[in-house]
Amino acid sequence: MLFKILLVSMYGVVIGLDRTQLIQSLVSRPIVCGTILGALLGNPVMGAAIGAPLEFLWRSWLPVGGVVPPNDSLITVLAVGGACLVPGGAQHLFPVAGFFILLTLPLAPVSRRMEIFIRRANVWLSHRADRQAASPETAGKVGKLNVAGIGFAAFVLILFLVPAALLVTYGGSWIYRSLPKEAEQTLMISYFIIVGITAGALMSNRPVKKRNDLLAGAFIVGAVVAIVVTIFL
Amino acid sequence: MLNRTTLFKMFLRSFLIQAAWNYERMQNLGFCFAISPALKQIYGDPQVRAAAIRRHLEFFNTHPFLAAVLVGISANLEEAASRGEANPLSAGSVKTRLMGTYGAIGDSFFWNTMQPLCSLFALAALAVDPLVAAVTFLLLFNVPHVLFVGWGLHGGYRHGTAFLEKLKNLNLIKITERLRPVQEILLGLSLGFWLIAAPDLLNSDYERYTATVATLVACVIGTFALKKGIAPLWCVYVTVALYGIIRFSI
Repeated sequence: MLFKILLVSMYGVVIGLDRTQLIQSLVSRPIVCGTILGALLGNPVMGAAIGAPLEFLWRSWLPVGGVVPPNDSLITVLAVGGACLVPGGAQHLFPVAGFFILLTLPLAPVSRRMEIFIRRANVWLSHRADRQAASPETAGKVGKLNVAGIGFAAFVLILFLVPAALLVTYGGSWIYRSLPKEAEQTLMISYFIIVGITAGALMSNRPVKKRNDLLAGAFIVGAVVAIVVTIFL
Repeated sequence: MLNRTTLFKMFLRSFLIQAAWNYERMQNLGFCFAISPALKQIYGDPQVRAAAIRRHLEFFNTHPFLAAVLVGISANLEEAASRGEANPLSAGSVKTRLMGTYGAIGDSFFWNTMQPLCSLFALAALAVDPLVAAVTFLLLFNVPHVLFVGWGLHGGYRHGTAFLEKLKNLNLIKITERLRPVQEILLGLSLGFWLIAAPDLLNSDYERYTATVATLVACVIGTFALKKGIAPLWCVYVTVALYGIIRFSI
């Protein structure tokens, strides 16, 4: 268990770096990183069930200019890690997914603060670069400071993720197993409430608000397909 | 003339443009890191090279994917400056003039259109298989992303400021506008499908009906609350708490 929690933390570090510092391949998007982590831990459906609503919850926050959105990637990693490692979690997909999303959501603003701290601390690297560039002997080493930025961010992410993953997985597991049986259905409905709020987030941030005809038409087609699929498959 | 190895190094380094993003001069270190291989090849004299490095440590912030275009153009202008055909400060003035515009275009195209579009495609692909959804997202987003960075860097270096016209002809703003209705259709399809199909994965009829009603009510609450500027986090907890109170009081 401990090894798997460390694995989840290390995976979280890579995901955290992808958000800003490294490549930005968007493997850090919740729908992607949640599913991949779920697959690594043997339950890709749980990963997708948690990643999909979190993908759109903070849809209105864009990383434009110096804006730092809540870190939905790290909370996805923590929630999927906890949900996949809770004993017997695979048999209770929606209650477990709902429980771990509710448990980890408050960490989103905390991880956002952490990202802001990294960006503030990087000013030091920029000043050091000025000093190095002043001399022809050391000017060639300025590039290394950029790489040091990745190392620093990785260090801060480890400091955040290892305790958070331990707390979410062990603490979450213990709380979930201590809950009365009746709470399971409440947690299951909580999951669907989160899905509904996410759908609301999508509706309130539509790209072309005047095209209600397109949205309504597509919605009806989607609903009909869903009904056909649920009846015949 | 920069060799292929140098250009390839610059291409790889363009993906680390935000590695040391800071609140004072934002992407300055990343930009300097990306253009360093070119400066090393262009300027043999360490004094002149150090002066060029200092010039590229100034404030810089644009969209990370469009930064590659400015890295390429700056390398072209530095090369011209080393031959005495351009002012050494011209790269800096081009960066200053374009970073704001490119930042806005990149944010609108990549963050506000491409990324949500890929997310919606992935959401639709979840109906097939979760891993197919993840792979769909990564391919749809990263093939254009990597090609754009490579094309922008190479074109910027080869054509210099003349490349700006080519980039203008690409008309990312128009592509963004054309992709928005597609986003709308995918949004409708995904919502229609999942709001009906997801609760159907439950075991009993009672659970299915409760989940469907809860999802739809939460969707209405979410739409209005978020439009009013209420944080999604509060929206989730307050709605869940309200449900809990109603459930245990009945």
